[in-house]
Amino acid sequence: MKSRFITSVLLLFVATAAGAATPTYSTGGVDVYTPCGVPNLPWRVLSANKVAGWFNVAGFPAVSNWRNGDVWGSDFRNTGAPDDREPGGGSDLPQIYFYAGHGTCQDPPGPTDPDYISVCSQVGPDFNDIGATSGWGSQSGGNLQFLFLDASCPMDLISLGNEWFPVFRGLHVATGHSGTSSHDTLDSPDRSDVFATYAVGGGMFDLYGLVSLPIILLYPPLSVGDAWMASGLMDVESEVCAVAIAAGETEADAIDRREHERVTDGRSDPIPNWFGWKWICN
Amino acid sequence: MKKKFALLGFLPLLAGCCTPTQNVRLAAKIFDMKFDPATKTVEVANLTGLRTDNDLFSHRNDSRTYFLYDAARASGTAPLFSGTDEELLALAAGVLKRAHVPKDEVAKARVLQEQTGVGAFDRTTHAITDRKESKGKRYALLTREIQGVPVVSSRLLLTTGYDKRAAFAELHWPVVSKEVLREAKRLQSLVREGWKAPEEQAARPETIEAVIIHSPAMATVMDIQAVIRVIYKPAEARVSMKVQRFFDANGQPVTPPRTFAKMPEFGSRKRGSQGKP
Repeated sequence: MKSRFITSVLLLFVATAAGAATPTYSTGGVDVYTPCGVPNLPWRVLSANKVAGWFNVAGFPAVSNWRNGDVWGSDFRNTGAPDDREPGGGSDLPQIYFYAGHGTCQDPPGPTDPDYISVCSQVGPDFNDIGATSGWGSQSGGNLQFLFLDASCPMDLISLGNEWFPVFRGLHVATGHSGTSSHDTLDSPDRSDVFATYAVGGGMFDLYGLVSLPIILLYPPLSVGDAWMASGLMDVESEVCAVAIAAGETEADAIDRREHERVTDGRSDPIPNWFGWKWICN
Repeated sequence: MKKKFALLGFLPLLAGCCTPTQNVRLAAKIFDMKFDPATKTVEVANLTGLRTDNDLFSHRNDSRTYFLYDAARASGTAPLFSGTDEELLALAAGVLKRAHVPKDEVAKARVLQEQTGVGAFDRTTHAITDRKESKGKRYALLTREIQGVPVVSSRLLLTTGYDKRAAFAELHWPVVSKEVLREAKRLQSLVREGWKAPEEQAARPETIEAVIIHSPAMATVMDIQAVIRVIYKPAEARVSMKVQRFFDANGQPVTPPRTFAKMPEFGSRKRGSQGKP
């Protein structure tokens, strides 16, 4: 315990000296859905655990890692009480939030159809219409910079302007899938942690691991957008797309963040005047 | 900056030491990636490799798994590969050949086209103006089967720069033992004979097939298993994401191959009642 504390302090010191950011993170993973009358997903908690594991290897401080009914519907809502700043586990408390669980697909979605984060929780309602209820980042009183959703259809390409661009209020980059109920994502045990590994690849500082040699040192250090393009199509059906969105103050800023921003960059929160997005389909 | 520079002075003491020449040769052989022969080899857990400010080449010592990254070529704002899809697939096939992957193990070779968009957003009207969409990078994706059995965890994913040199690659193609393949074929026979998938609450089986699964490319262990994979579709449209389960011949659930030999600790996973309305 003592040695872990000393290692953490040393990691933080070295990272600070090197100018790298050590973002805080939370994960929410939901396997158990049958109390809500829908199928369980056996590998969502495992996925969230593995993502948390890699973030831990990277030295990121955890804010919360809740599972199943402890992931509340209110954790994703910007208004009401409790809301997404609820001190026990709101999604707007950390700088990175990863969610693994159900979403809800239309077949096919239209430009005004909602995107959902669908939990089965102790604090409902469980179906969160992202565009209508969410808002993330410093301009909405929170901290979130990176939102990673591994669910079904939470980021339909056809409705990005209505469902997603308005919820960027200081948020830097978000990732998710676009699909339909007949062209869907599978509950994958590996997709999320491959993504997380690329997102933290290279380590959080370029010092070849001064304190220890973390294994992530030798994984390719991809930007958030590229990490999702390289992993988001694992275990998905045909026509499903992996989507990444970045906000920027200018066109060049939005493109730069879409292509290059990493979770360890420590960039300032963007004024969301422009959006850059990219996608790749199976 | 000064601090960072000072700390970098420790590098020679900390970097690995063992097989730089082999790694430099391997990077050149498989990916045509050139490293200065003096580049230090770094060894961490089950990985060994080379790193510079721009380039990374690494491979696992417990699996036929290679990573390559060239930051300048892989950048989405760098000039893109302008060759045909067939040329990109030929480059990918060359990588497999040089990594000694049997040609007949390629199940499917195709090119995935990334698309990009940018636009100004009016927060009041939600209108998107100055919208521009264009084609981004192309990825060659090669998937795997052995004698008709899909190995669903294996793949080669490759992008190249404008000059046809590899920019990013994940080649994860571990050697599968005869015993695992034999078991996979036995499971395949059972499926053909009408093996019945266990029931799943609020979902119905959609596809049933015998497959080989293994640990992901980034893992500290390498587990390889033959399983029957069942995809279940939710019975109603309220939620999506299809259930994927793995079973043995007797219909007993099989845990997925591991990523970590020992899961890193990350604190409590039980929320208190504080904050509950």
